[in-house]
Amino acid sequence: MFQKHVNKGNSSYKQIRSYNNLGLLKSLRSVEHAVIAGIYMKGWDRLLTRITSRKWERAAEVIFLLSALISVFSLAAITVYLFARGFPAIRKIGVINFMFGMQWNPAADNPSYGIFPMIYASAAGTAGAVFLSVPAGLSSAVLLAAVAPSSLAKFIRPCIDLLSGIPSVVYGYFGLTVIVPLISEYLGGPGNSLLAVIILLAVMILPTIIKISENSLRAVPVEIIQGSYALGATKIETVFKVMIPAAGPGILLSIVLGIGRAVGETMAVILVCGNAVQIPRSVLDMVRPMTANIALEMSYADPFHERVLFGTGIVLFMFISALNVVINVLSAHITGQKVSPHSKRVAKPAEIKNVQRNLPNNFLS
Amino acid sequence: MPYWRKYRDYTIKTIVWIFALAALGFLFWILSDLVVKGLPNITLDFITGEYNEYKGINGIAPMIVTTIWIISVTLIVSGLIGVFAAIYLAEYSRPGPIVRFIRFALDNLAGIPSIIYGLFGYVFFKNMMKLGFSILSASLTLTIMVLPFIIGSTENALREVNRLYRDGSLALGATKLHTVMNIILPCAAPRIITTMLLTVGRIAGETAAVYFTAGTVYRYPEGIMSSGRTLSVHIYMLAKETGRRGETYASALLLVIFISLIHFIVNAALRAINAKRI
Repeated sequence: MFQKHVNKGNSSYKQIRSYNNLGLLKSLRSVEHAVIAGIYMKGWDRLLTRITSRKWERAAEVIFLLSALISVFSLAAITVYLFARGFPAIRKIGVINFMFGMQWNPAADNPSYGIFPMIYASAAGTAGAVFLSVPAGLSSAVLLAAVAPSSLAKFIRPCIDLLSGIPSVVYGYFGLTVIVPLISEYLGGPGNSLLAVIILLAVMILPTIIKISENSLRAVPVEIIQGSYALGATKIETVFKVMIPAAGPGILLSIVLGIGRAVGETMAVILVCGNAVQIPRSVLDMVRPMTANIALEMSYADPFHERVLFGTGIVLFMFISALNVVINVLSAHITGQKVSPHSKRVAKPAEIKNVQRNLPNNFLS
Repeated sequence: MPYWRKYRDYTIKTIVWIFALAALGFLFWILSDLVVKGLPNITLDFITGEYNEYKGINGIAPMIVTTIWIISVTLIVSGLIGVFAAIYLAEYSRPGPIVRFIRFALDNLAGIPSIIYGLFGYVFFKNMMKLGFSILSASLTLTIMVLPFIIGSTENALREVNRLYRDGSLALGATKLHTVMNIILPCAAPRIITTMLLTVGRIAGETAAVYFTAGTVYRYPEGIMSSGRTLSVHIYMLAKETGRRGETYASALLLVIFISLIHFIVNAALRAINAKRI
């Protein structure tokens, strides 16, 4: 707007000057021109922009700040409301009874609210998923970053983006109609089982692990890779003995992020877990993780039961918060890593040309 | 080089390929399953028809309309807030406690699972603010949920704008606000738009948070305050009943097609943007 404004003022001013003695009014095509020209000649526009912009400047900064603060308020509100709703119920039941109670029977005359089987199910499902997903994910990341030809990698990468974009409920439905029958046919049991949960969660956290591991493998400074080659290491040796240790924090971060996603996953899990509250004796037994418990019972819960479900939410929230601390530490470590002194980049002439080419055509006109 | 190193390399390489192919094979399995079982069930009646389990009508038009409603309201609210917040973080903020608070909040919000957002929206927007099960309360809940993503990638987009433009504009006498609005935002616009597109994909696929805040009523929504069922919630509701395989697959396929379309456009756009830059 600023730029256009100057141009407009300038051109009409020139126009006016060139028609100087032919009568000013004839040359003005519109009221707008007159106003702009007048303001321009009197030097008012600078005054005007300065006054209005200073006001706006402050107002805009405040608006921007408030928008940014909304995230802080949201986090505070989420924490406060979750605890205000759920914590009184936990205290009434007793923290130990709630966390380590084995019986979940909210509908009985003498209701019992113990969520240990659900905590166990969440933990077992997540651990199993990570156990399956890390080798596959890390292999895929290595493949994409170092082994596969780049044309293949270019084809695979969007596929992985897509995999991460598929809604969890679609995964859940796929699990329900394909994986569950396969399990019950070949391994026995009801099919809806801890194993189904593990397989589904493993697939769902794969994209996270692949993407972030690949990025951190790619971020390994090229000098140490070349150094490894120079010492006579083969490609695979370089990948496993140099690149993966160097990218360690990033790979760890990808795994922790995957854990976070697996613990919080609801809609996929709910469709395949079988929803029986019990400590599974084998992977073929039905389970009910915490998220499934909340989503299943919320719709028909009486007020106290509802508060207990919020209490389940608190346990989940605490776990995720602990993971977040780990994530923050890891990512701070990664971004704070010093780049090796040898990789100081010096701008080449071609790059400077690129900078010039990047300027829009009308930028200096 | 001892001869065995070569064979060890081959072995490890093979193992890597097998694992990776297994991972990718799963993706193609899911996609092909969806297409094979879903495609025959997608008809014009299905897309444009209403849904009523008692009358045996199996359309999904009301769900599509609700989904569009929720996407648009969420995008408007979260887009405004997100871009403004990103401008603050990228252009105005100075290192200090406020920025640390904001970043802490964003980092933590990004990790919270959607069911917690659902619970929060249920207590706060539905009960406290008395919005009821409505498109508005779902959209506000989703806004908080997508904010970290929008702010993060918009901030990156703003920071990637060439320094020369900023300095040039300031040197010409433009104020900071002018520079931000007329130079930096237009330069970052393509990246911001791709961010918004990806957000659309996330909103369309979200189930748990919407289930708790928008309800499961399968009518056409009459406005921002009416309850509704999005396509993803519809898939969940259908999935719980076993006899409705065809429709469920068809709905899931439509949702996945929509989201892959977005991903395809974003990929093409990002490629174009990067090509222009280099």
